Amino acid sequence: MKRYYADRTGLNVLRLLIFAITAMVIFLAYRYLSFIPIFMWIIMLVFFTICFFITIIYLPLYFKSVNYYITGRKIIKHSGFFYKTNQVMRFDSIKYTTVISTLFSKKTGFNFVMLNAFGGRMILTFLKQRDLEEILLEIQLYKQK
Amino acid sequence: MYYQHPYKILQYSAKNLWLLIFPLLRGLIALRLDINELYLWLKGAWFDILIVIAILATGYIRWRCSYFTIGKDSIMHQKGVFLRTKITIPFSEISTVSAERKLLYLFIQAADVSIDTDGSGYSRADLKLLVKYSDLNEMEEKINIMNKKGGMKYSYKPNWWTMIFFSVIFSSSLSGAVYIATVFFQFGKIIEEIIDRKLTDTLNEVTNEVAAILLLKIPPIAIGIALLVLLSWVLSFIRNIFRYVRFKIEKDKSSTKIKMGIISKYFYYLSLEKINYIDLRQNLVMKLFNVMTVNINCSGYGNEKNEIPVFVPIMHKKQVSNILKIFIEDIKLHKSLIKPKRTSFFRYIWIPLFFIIITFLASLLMYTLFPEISGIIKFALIMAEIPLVWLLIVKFASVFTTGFSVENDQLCICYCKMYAYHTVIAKRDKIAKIKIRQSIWQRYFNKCDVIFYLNSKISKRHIIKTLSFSEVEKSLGYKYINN
Repeated sequence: MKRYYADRTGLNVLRLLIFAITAMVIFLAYRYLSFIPIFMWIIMLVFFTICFFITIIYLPLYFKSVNYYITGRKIIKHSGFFYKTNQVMRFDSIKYTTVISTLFSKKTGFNFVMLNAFGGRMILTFLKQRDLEEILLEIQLYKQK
Repeated sequence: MYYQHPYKILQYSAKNLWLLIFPLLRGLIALRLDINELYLWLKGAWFDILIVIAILATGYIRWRCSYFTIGKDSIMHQKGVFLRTKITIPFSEISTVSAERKLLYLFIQAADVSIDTDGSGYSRADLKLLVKYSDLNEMEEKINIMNKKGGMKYSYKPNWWTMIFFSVIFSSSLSGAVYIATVFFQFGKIIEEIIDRKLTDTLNEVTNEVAAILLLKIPPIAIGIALLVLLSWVLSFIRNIFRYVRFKIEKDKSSTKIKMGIISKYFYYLSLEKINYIDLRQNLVMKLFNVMTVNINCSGYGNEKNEIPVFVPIMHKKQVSNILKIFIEDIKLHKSLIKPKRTSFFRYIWIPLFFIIITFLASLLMYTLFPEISGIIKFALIMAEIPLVWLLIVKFASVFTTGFSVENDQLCICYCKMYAYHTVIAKRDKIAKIKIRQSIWQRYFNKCDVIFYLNSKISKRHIIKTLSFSEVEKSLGYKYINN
C-alpha cells in the first residue's frame, strides 16, 4: 500500500506567488495611499497578516496533512489539521476523471485530479506527475477488469 | 486525435466580436474603390482590426489546444492553454450520448455532441464537443451504446397527431415568455428597445380592437396580458412541435436510440441499465381518458433547459405496459398497496383552499377600497381563482390515487406534484434514501409522510403524504430497511 503526499514544490511555488502578490499590494498602498496614512497602514497590515497566516501556518499544515492511498478497490484521502477528514471512494463508483494541470506542472506539482462519482466527487490536490499517472493507471486497470 | 469542428473557433472567440466587426464592415462598405480611401480607412481603423485579429487568434489557439481521442474503451478530451483540463470517460460508464444537428450545422457538416455519466451532481453534460460529421460517424463506430451495427430489435414511432397533442399539453406559457425574454436579451439592448416599443404599440392597437369587438367591460390591459400569454404559449407550442415531431425510439440489446426534430435534429443514445427510474405523467384530463406520457430519468437525457425527458409521448395505459415490457424489461405497473385514508383528504387540499379564500378576501378588500377599478379587480379575481380551483380539484382527486408499493424488488410510487400526477417505477437498487417524517399531530394519529430519494444526477423528492405509520413500518421497516 503506497501513500501519496502533496508535492512540496507546489507549496514553495504557492508561497512565492503569495509573497509576490502581497509585496505588490503593500508597495501600491505605500505609493498611492500615503496621503491617508491610517487607511494605508490598515491595508498593509491586513495583507501582511493574511500572507503570514497562509504561507507560514495554513499551507504547510495543509501540505503536511493531506495524503492519499489506494487499497485494493478503493482510494482513501486524509486531510485537515484542525478538522481531520477521511474520504473513501470505491473505484467502481468512479464514473469519470478530470485532470487539471497548469503550465510547467511537472516542475511545480500543480496537478489536480477530480474523481467524479454518483452523488459526489473527490479532489486530489498538488500531486507529483508520477503519482498522478500511477493513480490514473490504477483506476484505468480496475475499469478494464 | 481529433480536433473539434473549426466553427468552434468562432464560438471560442469573444462573444462580442460582432461589436467590432460591424463598424469595420460599415466603414469598408462606405469606401469607394480608391486606394487612398482604403489607406485612410486603415489608418483610422487599424486598432479595431488588430483587436479583431487578436480575438480570432485567441479562438484559434484555444481550438488548436482542444482535442479529443477515442480509445479502445474510453474517450478523452483535453482543453485549455495555460490551465489544461483532461476529462477521461470510460465507455462502460456512459449513460447518454446526445447529438444535436442544428440548421446551421447542416451547412457546415457539424454536430453538438454531449456525453453524460452519472458522475458529479450538475445538470450540465460531463463532456460537450462540436464535432465534424465524419468524427461523429467514428464515434458511432467505437462507442458501444452508439454502435447499432447489430441492428435494432424493436422500434416505436408515434403518430404525428399524438406528437401534436403532446406539444399542446406540454407547451407552457411561462417557458414561452422566458423564451421571448431570452431572445430580447440575446439581440441586445438597442434591438430590445425597438421591438419592445413596436410590440407595445401593436399590442395596444390589437387589445383596443379586441376590447371593442367583445364589447365587454374587460380593461384593455387585461386583454393585453392575456394576448401576451397566448402568444408566448403559441411560441412554446411551435418550439415543441419542431423539437418533438418525428419522434422515434429504437432498441437493441443494451441501449436505446431516440430520434426527434424537424429542422434541428436530435439523436440520443441511452444505456438501458443506466435508467434510474420511469415516471408516468398525467394531468387531470389525461387521467380521465386513461392516457399518459412516459418520462425517464437517465443522466444526460432531458436535463437541459426546456427539454422533456420523454420516452413514450402519449399512450393509453394498457399500451404503456406493453411498451415498457419491450423497451425496459422487468418493469411492471402494479397497484399501490399502501394508500392514505380518504378521511385525510384535508391534508391534500388545504394549500389551494387557503389561497382560494385569501384571494377572494383580498379582492373583496380591494373592491371596497378602490371601487373605480372594480372591472380590473373582478377580472383579476377570476383569473387567479381558475388555476386555484383547478388545483383544488386535482389535489382532491390525488387522495384516491396516491400510494406506494414494494413488490418483487421493484418500487412503485404514485403521487401528485402541483398539477401533475406521477407514477414512478424503479428497481430496488436505485433507491438512495427513504425518509419517514412525522409531525406532532401525525404522531398522535399514527400517520406519517414518506419521502423517497431515488438515484438521480439532480436530487428529487417523491413525497407521499398522510400514510398509516404502522402500515409503512410494516412495509418498509421489516421488508426494506432491515434487509
